[in-house]
Amino acid sequence: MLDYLIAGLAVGGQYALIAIGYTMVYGILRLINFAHGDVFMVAGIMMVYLAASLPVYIAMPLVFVLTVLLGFLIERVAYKPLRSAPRMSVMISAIGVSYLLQNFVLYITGGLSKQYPALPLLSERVKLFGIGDKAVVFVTPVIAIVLMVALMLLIKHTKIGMAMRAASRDFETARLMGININRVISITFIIGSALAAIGSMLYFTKFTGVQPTSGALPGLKAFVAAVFGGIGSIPGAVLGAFVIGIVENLAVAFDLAVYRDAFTFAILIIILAVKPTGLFGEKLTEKV
Amino acid sequence: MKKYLALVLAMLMVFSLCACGNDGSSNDDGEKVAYVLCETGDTYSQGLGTYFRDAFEADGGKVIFESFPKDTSDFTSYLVKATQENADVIFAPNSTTVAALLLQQAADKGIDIPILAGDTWESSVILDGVKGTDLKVYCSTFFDENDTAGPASAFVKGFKEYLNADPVRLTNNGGNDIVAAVSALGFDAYNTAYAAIEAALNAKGGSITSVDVARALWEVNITDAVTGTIKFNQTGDAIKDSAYIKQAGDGAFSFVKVQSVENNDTQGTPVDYKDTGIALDGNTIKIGVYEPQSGNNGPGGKQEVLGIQYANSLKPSITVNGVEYKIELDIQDNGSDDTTGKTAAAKLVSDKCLIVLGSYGSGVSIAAADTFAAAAVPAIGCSCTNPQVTDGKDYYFRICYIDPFQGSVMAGFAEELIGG
Repeated sequence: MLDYLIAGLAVGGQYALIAIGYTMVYGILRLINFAHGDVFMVAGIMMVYLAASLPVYIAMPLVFVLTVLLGFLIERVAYKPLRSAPRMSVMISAIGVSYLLQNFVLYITGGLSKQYPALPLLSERVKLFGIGDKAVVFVTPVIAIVLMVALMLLIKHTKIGMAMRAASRDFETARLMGININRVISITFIIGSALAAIGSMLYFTKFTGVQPTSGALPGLKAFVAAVFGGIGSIPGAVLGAFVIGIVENLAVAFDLAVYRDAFTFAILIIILAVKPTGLFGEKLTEKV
Repeated sequence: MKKYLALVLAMLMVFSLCACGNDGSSNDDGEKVAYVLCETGDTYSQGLGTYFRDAFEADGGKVIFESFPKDTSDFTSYLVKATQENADVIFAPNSTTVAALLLQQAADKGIDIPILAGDTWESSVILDGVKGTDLKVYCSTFFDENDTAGPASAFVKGFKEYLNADPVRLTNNGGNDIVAAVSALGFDAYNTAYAAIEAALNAKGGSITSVDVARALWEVNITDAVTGTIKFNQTGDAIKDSAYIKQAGDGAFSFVKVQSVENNDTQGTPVDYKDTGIALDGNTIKIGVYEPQSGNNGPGGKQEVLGIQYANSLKPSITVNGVEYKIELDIQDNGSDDTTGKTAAAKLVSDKCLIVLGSYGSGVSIAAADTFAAAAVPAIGCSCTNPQVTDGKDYYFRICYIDPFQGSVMAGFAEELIGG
């Protein structure tokens, strides 16, 4: 049983890092960034190619920087021009970017799964609590929580964090108050992409096959996690991710392996039916 | 803040409760246990897994059969299950995409029992997956790359030159020039079609139809094909009696043994076709290529197409009675998906192909069979091993062995590995 729980926490931590990206972008822009899962996958592919020609210690920071750059570019090129357009247009643009990334990678790699390189320390096989697995499995939940706490501190105690909170509360008024909205949005995407880069290093070290559709399902599950926890709430997204990770793995423990994805999406439907704003979502007050 | 602390505390409590752990079930000494892991909704995977289970259980073994949903990347729980049930061997007949994930995770979990799979794992993706591990991985395949004599070695040498001549071909082959068995099958399929078309042209001159080609296929007897003799039994399957077992090692597959199963089939008698079929128009003969170029089986499909293209480059035309007929390949992507496949099949028919080669993957082949039959166009399956592809279908032929055969081959080999 412990085996399954640890596996669940590990994968939950990985989903958490992606989920934070979704929830932050939605909180401010009311945009579901469908391309986020694919940015995560591109980070994985970049590491595969870079680590083949550069030492890993240089490849890792380089992938981090390139992923952040990719997220920033996507925002500038695909989302910024549509900021005054109806919400549907930006979402469709996001779907377009998602397919663009997938097919671009398909073209470059030919489609066969590539093996992710071994990262120092993380890829070592260790034995903890009587369970043997890669070190990354035990380290991931810890890193996810540490990053979540760091992000919460940033949002609560810094000026840019205050700007982000203001922008997610009321976009137009924040602009009127003199907040540089472009900077806020760029920083949001930068943070989201940075987390996706770290998440991809942790995820692909464990699940070593990288191919163009590798980001689709984890992205989708991270999105469900964000909705479950309350879209716009970072701790909610992290909690949702852990819940989904654990439920998935317990499904196998109880011989319900075939239904493991069904459980994830059932959770989505139930939370939308029972508490649409999610566990920690903000209650929308309507002034009459 | 307090909420989060309480949550963390609760999780820790659950943890410590579970740390009391369970030590797994024990089974009777001497009973052989196999853990079979298949992908839901994948005809090939489910079919081959079932045939393996039937053969293994018929010999007195115990099988734990588990299915995982499509697009799963986390196989940890399944591997834990296999260990806890004291399995002696794991049989995982799945695509290379699954293998790329499963193998490293098996090594993570310290799996030391042999992992077996079917013909899909004869690929460089598996070699990358076992790199740096002590895993014992075996798969069945259609031919032996290291055969030093005969048609296999000539094919391997020529095909590697063909691949290295163009970087796009190398990328489509997975970025290297390791020869996949499916490329050999594609090569043989083209030559079989070529032989049938040639026979039809010799008999009827330039006014042949796709039905004439189908009739000619029943009489084909190629003894020097790369994957062994090709002649079809009454169902349309090539008569095969052996499979090659290979082990994935450091950078290459090593030949383990030839596993034989008796096959007393004889060459079938031609079906009395009543249809008219598609008539040859002019001097260009179109051979349809119905293969996945995207989706789960895209990588394997591309390798199969490379084999077909290589064969086409060696024999691009047929000359009969002084008239030269050029052969054109019409490649349509079935996307590893039944629905996309039907559209691709319809396109091949409307493009007036006289014969179709493909596919890699049983599900898409079965999906397209009716389209081809309705147009009276024969199809030669290259690496689709599920019996339903040819069973009851007069227009579908196949040059690879079928899953009931493959399932018993692997079950027999598994029993030998477990020993005793």
